[in-house]
Amino acid sequence: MLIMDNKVENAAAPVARAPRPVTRRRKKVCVFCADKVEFIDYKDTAKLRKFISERGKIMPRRISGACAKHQREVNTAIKRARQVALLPYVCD
Amino acid sequence: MEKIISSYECMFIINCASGDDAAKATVEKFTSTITANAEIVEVAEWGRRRLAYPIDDMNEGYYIVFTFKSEGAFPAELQRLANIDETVMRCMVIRLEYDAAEAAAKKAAAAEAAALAAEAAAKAAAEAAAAEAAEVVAEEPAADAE
Repeated sequence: MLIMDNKVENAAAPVARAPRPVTRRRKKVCVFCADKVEFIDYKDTAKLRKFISERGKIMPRRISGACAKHQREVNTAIKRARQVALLPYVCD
Repeated sequence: MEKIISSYECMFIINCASGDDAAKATVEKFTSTITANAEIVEVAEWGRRRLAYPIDDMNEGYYIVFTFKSEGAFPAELQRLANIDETVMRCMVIRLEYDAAEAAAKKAAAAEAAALAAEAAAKAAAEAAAAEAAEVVAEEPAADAE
């Protein structure tokens, strides 16, 4: 009897659950597209710092919000800045 | 065949352990090399700067950025010379996708426009101040008359 009760409860549970609230994430707009940037300068470390994590890793596109084209350019710029010691390869 | 001229940017990090003067001598040397082989558009001397990570156990370097237009063979040669020079800690030459001379001209024009705007704003402010002063002067005799 006890077991049966449990079964009934389990079966009822999904029905009773409130529908998940629709949390539509706002679509991020690429900052470079918004500003109509033609060339991402590797010397502009202030801007590039927004695209690296605290550990110095390059942020993925899903976090940075950059479009594919500009993410590629950001990658190049960050790597160039690293070569000339404007940005760190690692920081801990 | 016509020679292809492109825009390049070259950044040097020079060892400044033996003073800025030694670094400047190296800068001088490379400036003359570049002038001889290419058309310099812009030279930005950043001076002594902290490095993001130590290079050759050094925490500081003397930065200089050259923007120039040249044939395709020169950047490789410049890189080779920089690698030979012992005072150069790093050298990076990149090809610019845009025309450096045009960009520099645009930048100069923008700076000029900004300066003009600032001047106009200052003038307007001065005029407003003068007008205000005149108003005060005009008001004062009226007060006296009463």
